[in-house]
Amino acid sequence: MLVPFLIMLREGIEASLIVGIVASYLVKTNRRNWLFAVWCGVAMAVLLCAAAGLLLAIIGADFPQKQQEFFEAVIGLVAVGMLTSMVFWMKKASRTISTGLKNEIDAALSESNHHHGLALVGLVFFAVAREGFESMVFLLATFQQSSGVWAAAGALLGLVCAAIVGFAIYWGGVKINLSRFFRWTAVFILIVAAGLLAGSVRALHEAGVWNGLQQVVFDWSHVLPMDSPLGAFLAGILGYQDMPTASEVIVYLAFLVIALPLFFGVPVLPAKPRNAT
Amino acid sequence: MTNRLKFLLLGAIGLLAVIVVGLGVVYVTMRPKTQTPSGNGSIAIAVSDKTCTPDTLVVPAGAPAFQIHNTSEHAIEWEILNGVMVVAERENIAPGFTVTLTPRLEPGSYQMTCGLLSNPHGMLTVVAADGSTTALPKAPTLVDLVGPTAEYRVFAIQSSQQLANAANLAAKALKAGDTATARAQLVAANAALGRLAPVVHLFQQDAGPLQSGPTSLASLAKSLDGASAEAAARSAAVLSGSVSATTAAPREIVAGAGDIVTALAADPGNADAASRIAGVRKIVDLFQPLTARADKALADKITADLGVVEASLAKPNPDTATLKPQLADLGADMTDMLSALGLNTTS
Repeated sequence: MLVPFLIMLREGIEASLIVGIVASYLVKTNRRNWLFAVWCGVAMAVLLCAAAGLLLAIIGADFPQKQQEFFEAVIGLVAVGMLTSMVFWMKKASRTISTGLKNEIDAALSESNHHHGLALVGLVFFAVAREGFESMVFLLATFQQSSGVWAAAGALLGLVCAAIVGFAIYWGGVKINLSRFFRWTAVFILIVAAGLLAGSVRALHEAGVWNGLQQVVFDWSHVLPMDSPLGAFLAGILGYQDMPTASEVIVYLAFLVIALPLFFGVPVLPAKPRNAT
Repeated sequence: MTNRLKFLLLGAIGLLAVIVVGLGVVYVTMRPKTQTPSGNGSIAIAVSDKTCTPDTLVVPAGAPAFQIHNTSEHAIEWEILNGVMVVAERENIAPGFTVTLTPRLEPGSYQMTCGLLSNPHGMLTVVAADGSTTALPKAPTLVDLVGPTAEYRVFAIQSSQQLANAANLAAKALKAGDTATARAQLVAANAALGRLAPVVHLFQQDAGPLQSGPTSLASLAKSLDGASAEAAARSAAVLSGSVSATTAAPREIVAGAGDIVTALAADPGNADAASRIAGVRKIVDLFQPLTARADKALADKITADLGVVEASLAKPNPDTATLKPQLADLGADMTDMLSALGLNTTS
């Protein structure tokens, strides 16, 4: 029961994490009205994945793992791009906030509000679809296997817990003080994005597309395996891998080495107020 | 967001929900049929924490159906690799679960991950279907042959070093006037040379002086001539160096063993018969798993025939009349073994 629970917890968190971040970001940027679209995006992705999983099981076809990996990689890279741009937009916004020009956020938002909102809803939809199809196939497998009802119960419980984690991230993001939200969630989101980037490189390898630098850097599969509770949690949130390859470690570190100084490099309090663009 | 758009979205979600429920009903009613795995032609693999069972597989090209059963305590993923490239995989296999993987596989050699990704990989060989539906061609691939070939190389190097050591000790003993030790070492050297017999023709230039003439180990054991013994020791050292620097091809090794048996069949009274058969035995043993995979009956026959020859040679005074047909049988087996391993074509 534990392993199906942890597998679904990890896959579920990978999706709910992005939903939670996007939802709290929308609330914090005065776009609460977009939340309805976010929940619709989540619901549609879940239902489409359920339909696809059932269809696959009915016709008895193999789960297209390689195509799934490629899909995961592409969505992962898009998510990295959008999360990163969110972070830097927040940085710009927090500068305006600190100068007391709160209205300028709304001014900045109103311009590209619609397209940006749609893009975020799209990100939520694909982030859920990315994990949902594979999770549905796994869930159906837990019903089919002889291992009894507990495997299925564990898997479902894992999904519920993942949803709770997503809500916790959303509420945490909403409740936290505005300027702190922009500063520290930004760091958290950048670390999440680095994990997503490394995971996308791994997915590209498993899709048979990327085959360079596949030496294993360290093997923690005996110390902190990914199917242990902590390992699964860290894998879901930070993209932890117990046996990362050189290419994963390199992009992970390179992303943080570039993004974190860029984020902290310029003083958060500007010398003179600027016009928001 | 306008109310109309909201209704549109909710409507779409409702429609999707109805579709999912419908598919769910179809799925539940069909389940007994889809649940039974396609027993025909599917390949069952059990994966434990440490290994795959079986860990060596030969399957026909096309879309073989693998049934992967996780017998370990951990979630595993199962991959078919071609070098570092992932050819096909299945992730998230929970303990006790069985999943099916039906990848399209081109003929060739692949590796299978077994349990933890750091565990030793299993070997998967995909062979081209040649139209026949009965027996699969199971001739070993080049990759399969690497193992026994490398092991034989180690054996050949060890034998040549034993030869060089013994010849050296013999020459020293003769210098010191210790003829008893010299004779014993020369006999040991000659036995080592006999074990190398299947491949010694590859080193004819270095081995020649040890096989015939005044420096041959056989005649030295009688003459005990000091100068010739030193010359022989030098030749043996050179031969040892050449053997260390060479990797004989699988075909040369197996064909060499066959040639030795055939030559002995024509000369069953040869004084070195026992040591030469010991050299043949090593080759038969090393290639036995591959021979058995290709042709189980042949592998059993070789083991039986080789045992008969060894039993005859173990007698104090081997009867050449009995040995001759036994060696001829074994020689024929060795020719069949060469074909079974797919090594009979010169390349």
